[in-house]
Amino acid sequence: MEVAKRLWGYMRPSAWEYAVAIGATLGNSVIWIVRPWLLHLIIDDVFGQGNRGLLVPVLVALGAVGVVTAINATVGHWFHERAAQGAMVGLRSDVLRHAQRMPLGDVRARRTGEIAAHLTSDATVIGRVYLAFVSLVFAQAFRLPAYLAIMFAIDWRLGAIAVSSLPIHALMATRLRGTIRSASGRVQDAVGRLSAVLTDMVGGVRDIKAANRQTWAGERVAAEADGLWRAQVGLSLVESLRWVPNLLYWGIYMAIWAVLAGSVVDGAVQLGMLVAAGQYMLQLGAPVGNAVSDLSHMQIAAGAARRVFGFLDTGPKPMATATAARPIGQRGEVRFEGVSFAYADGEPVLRDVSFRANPGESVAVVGPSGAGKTTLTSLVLRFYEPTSGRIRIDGTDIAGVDASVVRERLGVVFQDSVLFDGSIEQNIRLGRDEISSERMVEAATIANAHDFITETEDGYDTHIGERGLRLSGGQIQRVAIARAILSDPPMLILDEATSSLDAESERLVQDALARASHGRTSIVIAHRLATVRRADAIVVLDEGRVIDTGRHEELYERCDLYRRLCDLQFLQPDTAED
Amino acid sequence: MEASALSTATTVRRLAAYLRPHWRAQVGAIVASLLVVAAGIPVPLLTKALVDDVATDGRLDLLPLVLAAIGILAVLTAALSILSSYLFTRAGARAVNVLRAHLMRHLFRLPLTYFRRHRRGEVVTHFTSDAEAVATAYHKSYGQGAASAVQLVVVVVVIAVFDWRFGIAAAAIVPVYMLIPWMNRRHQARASRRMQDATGHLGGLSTELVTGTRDLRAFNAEAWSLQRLRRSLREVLRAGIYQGTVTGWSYALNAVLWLIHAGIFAVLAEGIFQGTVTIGFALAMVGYFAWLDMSVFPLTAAYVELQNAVGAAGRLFRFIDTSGEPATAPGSSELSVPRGEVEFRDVGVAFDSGPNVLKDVSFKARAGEVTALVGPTGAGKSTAIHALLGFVRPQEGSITIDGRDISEVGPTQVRRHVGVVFQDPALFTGSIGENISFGRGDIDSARVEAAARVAHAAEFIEELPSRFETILGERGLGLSGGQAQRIAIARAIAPDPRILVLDEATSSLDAEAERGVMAAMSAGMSGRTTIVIAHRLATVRQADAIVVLDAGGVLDRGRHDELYRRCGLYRNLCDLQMEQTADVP
Repeated sequence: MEVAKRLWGYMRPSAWEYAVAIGATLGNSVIWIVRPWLLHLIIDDVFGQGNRGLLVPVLVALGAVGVVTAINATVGHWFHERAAQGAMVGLRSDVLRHAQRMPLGDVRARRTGEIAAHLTSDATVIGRVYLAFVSLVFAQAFRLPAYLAIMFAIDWRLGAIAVSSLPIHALMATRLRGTIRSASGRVQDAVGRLSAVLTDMVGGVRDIKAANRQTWAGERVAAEADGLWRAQVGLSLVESLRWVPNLLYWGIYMAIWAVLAGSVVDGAVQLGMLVAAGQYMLQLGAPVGNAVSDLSHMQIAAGAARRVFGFLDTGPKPMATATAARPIGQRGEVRFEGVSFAYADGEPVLRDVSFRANPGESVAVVGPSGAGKTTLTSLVLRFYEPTSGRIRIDGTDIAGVDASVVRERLGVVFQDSVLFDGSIEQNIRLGRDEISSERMVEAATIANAHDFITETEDGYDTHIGERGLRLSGGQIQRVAIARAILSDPPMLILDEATSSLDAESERLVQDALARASHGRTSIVIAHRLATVRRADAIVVLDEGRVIDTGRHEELYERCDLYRRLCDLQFLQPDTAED
Repeated sequence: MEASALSTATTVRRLAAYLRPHWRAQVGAIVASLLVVAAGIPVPLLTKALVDDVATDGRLDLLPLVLAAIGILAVLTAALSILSSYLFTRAGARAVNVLRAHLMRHLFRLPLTYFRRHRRGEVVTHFTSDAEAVATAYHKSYGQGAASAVQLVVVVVVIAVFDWRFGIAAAAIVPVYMLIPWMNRRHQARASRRMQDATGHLGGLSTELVTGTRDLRAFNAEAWSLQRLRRSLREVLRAGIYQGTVTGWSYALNAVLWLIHAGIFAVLAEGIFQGTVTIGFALAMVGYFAWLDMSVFPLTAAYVELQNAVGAAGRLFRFIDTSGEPATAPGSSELSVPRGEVEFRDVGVAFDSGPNVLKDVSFKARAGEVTALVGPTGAGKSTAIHALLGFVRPQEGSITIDGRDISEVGPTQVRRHVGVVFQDPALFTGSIGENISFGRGDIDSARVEAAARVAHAAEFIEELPSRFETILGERGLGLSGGQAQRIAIARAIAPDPRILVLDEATSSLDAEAERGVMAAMSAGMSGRTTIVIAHRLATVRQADAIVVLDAGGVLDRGRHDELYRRCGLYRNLCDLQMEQTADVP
């Protein structure tokens, strides 16, 4: 009920589309009921009693039924579609907004695929619930009683036959559908298995040829193809069950003639009535079957709705929103004061971390993997709140500042920057459309990206991302740098920005980074120490603790861990190069 | 060489050829569908008998007879329809599996360059959706479509036999029925493509927005993402409405049926009033026209499916017609490799009339020794390996194994004696044991374990709960790069080849993993002729001979110390790596 009320809330904005859709559905139901009646009028009144005057009106009505059906099929559908989809725009927006508000770790913990499913398939299924509801109430619940009433009105025995056929219709609608669905599920599974094996084989074609395993590979594919074939033949057999309703109809047809032929001869029942009754019987299965499918749609949708609402209701632990959007970061001084952090019910990741990045200077954070380096940047970006301690920017505790204000003043380049499907320009801007094109080109130039961008066919309009041009790792990072400095932020965070690049592209990116951080406070996280040697200060983190702070030379002298990290890279000549 | 496109007629004929072996099922199915048509013909007449003879003339004695006839025909129709559908599916799916087997065989004949030009998913589609489109066409076009065409003619003739005027009307209506779906079919295809694109876009966008949430938040781009989502939803809505309208048009055909109903009664009205025509006859006519209506749909469907299949089959045949790499030379004797000495003599390789990738490459990998190929990216190191394995065929020179020219024996023979470890080995869905034995029947579990032990893979495999039975792959266990490499080494040495090729086998590993794999490799090398390609020179320093390649040619060869002294390029390569490491403190 709770779920139903919330769903109702989403459909309200498209109320009038629903009104039209309901009207169309009702109209359609009326037509289904009227059609056979027209047959009765022709046979009994027009021809049986020779009422010539009625001929033309009835024929016109018959034609009109056809035309109205056609209009209904097209126009009615538009409104159905608009109504269903319109409601889901609201729901989908809520899901996305929620996903963007919840703590970053929760998004990952929840498996991004699951949230994406809320946005796509779940929402689509829920959208159908409205249509199923309309259909159930205004078509099925309307037609079925009408048919039965008409049957009883003609002759009680007809009514009895109709009523006794209902359970069979219902049974077929449920069982048949289930059986066919599971058989076609088996076909889908077989297709999935076949294409998984094929993907393996095509991907490994070189290895297979190199080891002469073609026959083996062929046999594996043949085995799956054989499974698919079997599943398909099975489905075709199961689908032949669709003939059962047909046989049922003919059975009923035979029954009504067997029972009522005598009455027609006696004149107790009109011939046209019997013919019309045949038509009604033919249609009787439809509302039963539709009602079953409407109900099952609603059930599936209710499940999806519960999932989505469950997601929307997960306490996003709303990040403390700021009291006032105070301007911060004009100077760009970042200070960590005794910051500790632990993920929900986990070991502390940072313990009492303190350091300072002076305006315009660069501070490098180094340490073995798992030392808490990336967590540190997440805290500055206010993806999480420190468990204790404070992070100040220009003296202001950022816990009291709206996250968006903090982020506005911070440019960030991640190790694995995400490119979005769209043009290069869109990827640099990320919606910041108020910034001039000149500035964008300037940012790209600083980021060493302008040259390769202008070399592509459409320049800044080149489509990149999933469906577009594939950029190399180095190119992606350079676009990301342009993105980070587009709004000219006073502070820059470089979180392993070059770790996954090869030597050649690393040089270009390093060069870009050096220029980008010029005049900005930068916090650099790096695995490779070669990149941080020139930092104004280096903070060595180990197991969440700051164990030393200083410049390269001093640290190499006095800090064992730092020296070990350096030596490891030095003595392992090959690691510095990959 | 890419094959050129085929004409529709040729494609349809080639598709038919795959059905031929199953002609018995096919003929059986067609006969069954024709019997369905025959069983349908008397049904409207029986209705007429009920209305006119039984109900109007009061011949109740006929009633059981007529009803029994209706019952028998209904059961017969159902049974025969099921039979024909079963036979069509069976024949079609079988034929498609034969087609798949052809595709598979061809897949391995294609040169590796083909896979560089075509995405993996694209190739897989040939086996799945393209093949499915063909299967559907076998069923719907080659089978039921043919039957429907016959049915259509029969119905028109039956109507004409009763009343020639209606016969003409029926013949005239058929084109009208065909016309709307015909005009609609392009829209239908476009509508479903548009819908697919729209939902595909929405899906991609949703995943992107969720996975990219860190970046979007960091840049305050929440509003922007919402805007993009809404735009995508608008397109889904528009596509839905378009598709609905197109489908609606097919429903609109119903209008025609009702107009025909009205028309039949209008034409026959005078006769009925006069008593020359019975009501039962009018109803029988209505029944026949309804049947006409029903038989047109499968025919249009048959056409549409055939169109789809021609497109899909065109792609398939183009794939099959792409020329493959040379097969094993016929009539050649077994290659025996007692020592395992590999020699390149003046080998030259060029791709598709491009410049030479290898030119005049000569070197010898002595039996039991380690020979390293080094050089900058693009020097031709991997091409040399591919030439040895027969993935590419040298245009000039020769490659011999123990003195026998490999072009005489063909790649299959060569590969039997050469074990390879690539930089990115492909592991297959299946158990670890299966991945090592690689389906080679002669490699039993004892040999698998022995190979794994040599490759230092047994250590981590033994720790897994199901050990060698552990399933790898998509839904199975994911291995680290180092572990995958060790399995690849075990796979390479399991058949105990005389020659081992290591193609950048450690390049994508981190230092820690590399150390483990290096140990595995040295164990694997012992007693074999080994050819190593490595980007990292530390790996090759200990080689018995180093061949320096540059721009496709051999620049120098020797041992590390000599080369470092006299070969500028080699020294540069070494120094570059030194400098980057010496750069640290």
